Amino acid sequence: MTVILAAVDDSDVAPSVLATAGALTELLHGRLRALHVREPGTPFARATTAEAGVALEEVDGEPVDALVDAVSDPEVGFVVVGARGSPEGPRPCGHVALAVAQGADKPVLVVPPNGAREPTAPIRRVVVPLEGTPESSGAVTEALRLLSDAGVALTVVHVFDADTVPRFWDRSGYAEESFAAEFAARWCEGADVPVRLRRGPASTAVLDVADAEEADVIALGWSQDLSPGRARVVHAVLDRACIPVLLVPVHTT
Amino acid sequence: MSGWVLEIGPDIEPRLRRAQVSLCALANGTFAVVGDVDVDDDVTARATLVAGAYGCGPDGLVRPLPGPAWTALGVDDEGPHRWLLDLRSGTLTREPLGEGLRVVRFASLARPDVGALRAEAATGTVWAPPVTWPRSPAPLAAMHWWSRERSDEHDVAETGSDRATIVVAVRQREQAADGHSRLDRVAAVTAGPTTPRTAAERALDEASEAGFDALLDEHRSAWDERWRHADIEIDGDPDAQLAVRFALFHLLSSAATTGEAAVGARGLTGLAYAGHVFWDTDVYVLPMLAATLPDAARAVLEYRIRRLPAARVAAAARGLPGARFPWESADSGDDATPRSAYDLDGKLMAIHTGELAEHITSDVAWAALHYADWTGDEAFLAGPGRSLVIETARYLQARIRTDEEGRGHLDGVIGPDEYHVGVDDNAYTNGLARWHLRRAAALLHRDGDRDGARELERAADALVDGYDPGSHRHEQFAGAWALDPVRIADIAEVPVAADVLLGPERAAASRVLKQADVLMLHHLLDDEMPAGSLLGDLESELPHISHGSSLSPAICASVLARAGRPDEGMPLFDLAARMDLDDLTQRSALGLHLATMGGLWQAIVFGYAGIRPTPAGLRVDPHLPSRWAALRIRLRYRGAPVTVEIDHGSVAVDAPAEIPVLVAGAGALDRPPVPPPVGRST
Repeated sequence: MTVILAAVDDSDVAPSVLATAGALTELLHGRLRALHVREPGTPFARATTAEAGVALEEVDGEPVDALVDAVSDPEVGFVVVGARGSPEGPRPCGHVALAVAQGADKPVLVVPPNGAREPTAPIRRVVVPLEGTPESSGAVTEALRLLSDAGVALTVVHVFDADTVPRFWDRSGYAEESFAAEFAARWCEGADVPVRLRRGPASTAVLDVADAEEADVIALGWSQDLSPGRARVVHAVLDRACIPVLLVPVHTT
Repeated sequence: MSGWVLEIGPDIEPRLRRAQVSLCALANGTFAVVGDVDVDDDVTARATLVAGAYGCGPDGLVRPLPGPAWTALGVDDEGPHRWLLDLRSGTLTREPLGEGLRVVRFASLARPDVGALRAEAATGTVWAPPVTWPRSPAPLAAMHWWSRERSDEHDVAETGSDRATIVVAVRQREQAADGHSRLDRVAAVTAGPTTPRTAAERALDEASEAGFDALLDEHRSAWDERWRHADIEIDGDPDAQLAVRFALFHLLSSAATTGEAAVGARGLTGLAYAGHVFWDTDVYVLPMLAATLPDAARAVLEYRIRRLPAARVAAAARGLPGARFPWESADSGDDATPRSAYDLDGKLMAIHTGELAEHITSDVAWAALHYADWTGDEAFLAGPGRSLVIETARYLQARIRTDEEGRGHLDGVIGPDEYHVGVDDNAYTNGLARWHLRRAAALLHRDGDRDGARELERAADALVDGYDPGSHRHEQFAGAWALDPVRIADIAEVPVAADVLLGPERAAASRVLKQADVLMLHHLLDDEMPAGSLLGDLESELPHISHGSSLSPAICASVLARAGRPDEGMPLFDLAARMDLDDLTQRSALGLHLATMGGLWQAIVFGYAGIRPTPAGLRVDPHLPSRWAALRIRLRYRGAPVTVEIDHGSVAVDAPAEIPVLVAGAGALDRPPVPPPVGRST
């Protein structure tokens, strides 16, 4: 049984993290573990989990190291963390969330502090940006097969930008239809998945599609590389998304 | 067998498998068998496609009706193997590396409603499922129903739409000896508005009686005959040699030689572009057929001629006389162009080509006259061809707006460059219309209708074409020279879908073109363009062409050759040559780019060899690229076989004595019509 590990801290986002993890657990018929790395201040995590009726595991230590260590448990399939940040302002993804996502070898679901979505709502629709490369597709496809098998409606987004613009685009309408059909056949493992093609900045296009599709989650494959100039789409989507973002390490198979 | 066999495998990257399988479509102009033998998944195409068989999907779009697949085999031991597409004999062989299943299949060129396969393997390793449901990653929305019936004699499967039925009848015989089995399967394919089952069963009986070996022999003979008048040999460039023969093979397979041929944008090789007939067929595919397989070109024109009534209705709907052909059509001849589609910003956008791509009407007339120029088919020109050319000219004549100074304009059109929509006086549209009006006038003169002819001539003379004699350049359309003069090289490496990169609005506000536009006019009309204008227009237009259309590279290679710059065009020639072989569009899995293949033939014949049918005879004016040592082209001109051999020092033409041939010296630039000598030249 897949374990969904909820990283519950003392911030305002903790109830959303727990609720989202609960929705994912229900979806995958998994088992929920709530983990708290003790830190000075108000023990808000205990109250949150108590209210939700979930047992809280508490550990000491440096939060990132403790969480990454917990994630390495083979039974853990997904991790749910809060993005932190102020609910009223912009939503930069916090250091802990990014560091956990970078260090974990499992998909990490990052929950924004004030989502437009009700945190307890079931996960029904997931938007998946795919670049159309073997490196970026394999792990995402694997994770998404789990979601698809659980009844989640997937929508794939492929965004043309300066690096991925096609060489030929014969006739609008037909070109989209053909490209989308072959893209799905080539990169979605034969799943009957709608493919939305967009142009322009990838993060904007992904968020627009997620909005149009009323998605509950955006799933992004990423190389876990946070060096300058890397993971720009991941940063931008995390910063602007009002729904949870699933970060899937691309080397995970 | 060098230059005749396309080898695929044994190692095929799984994601590219569909595109590779697509290369191996086997057609005979009437039907095609597409798809894999031994891959049983949901996304690999497998179907029988029949020319002219369509159905209306729930979205209202008319699409090809896929027919039942008859080539499936179950393989217990799928060992390493490769595919060999033998272009000379029109067969596809699955060849095992070592022991394993060997399959040969073909769509008979000798019997247009028959196909066959032979499978050989160790007994017990292969099983033969019945005819199967068609499948494809492209929409199968046109198929409304499907049925299958098995008997001791044969299997019959049918698919149907609201307007057509496809029947596939299959009979197979299996022989086994010494642990080795041989399965011969014969299929008969028929289609029509009602169930054509009796015809299928009759064809199956006759073919079965002949047997696989006889069917294969007659099929090979038919291909030999077809190649005898169509082959092109390129010395010194084996890659181009194979690519060109690959293109010729699919072009020669694309159209029937009797009745009418509805050749869609992907021919019979796939379901993309809804199987609709565009100008691709008239302007890109037809010239090769006219020069090598005239009966097929005539069948392509017959498709248009039978839809003249619909074209008259379309003109009348605009309150105009004459006949207007649709930008896209399927079986009925009504305009099948979708009116809208979602763009890459997720918004519903209007598609204006159906309404504004007026050049299609002159494109069809150009094809008819081009066919007549190649074949000398006077009966066509005096009969159905005459009606087609004159009625379409009358539509254009009425479509022209005359300004206060008496100049004629075609307002609000889309030229070949579809980045610029609703423009006035597109040089291609107007230039071809003017030529069309004059050729129609010449036909009227022949009949003694001087008044009618003069009317058309006056309209032609008044029509502006954007030509500036001072700079020897055509303005692509009114106001084009005032647009952002951005060069494509400053944006991206060509080819690039510039509208995808820039967005349609920014592309429209710039001089960036999707494809050759003014240069397309040079390509089609060649000597009839103003002296000196080819170089001027190359200078003016080429730096802005993105080649975002797969139609573009071959045409630009051709006009560069005509300008005496053949080597400069070779990278573009190579792009066209590799379009499907390397899946450059990432969409070859859904059908091959037939117009690109036609453009490739034109780049060689019109461009590098400089061969043109002219009123004075067959003109040869070569500009051979340095990469090629020699070029040998076989074709037919005015009913006679002609072979043209070109190297860097000489031209030799083998043609009957009565065929007039005009050979010009190489190196002429932007020259006036080729002078005599007239006659056989070596």
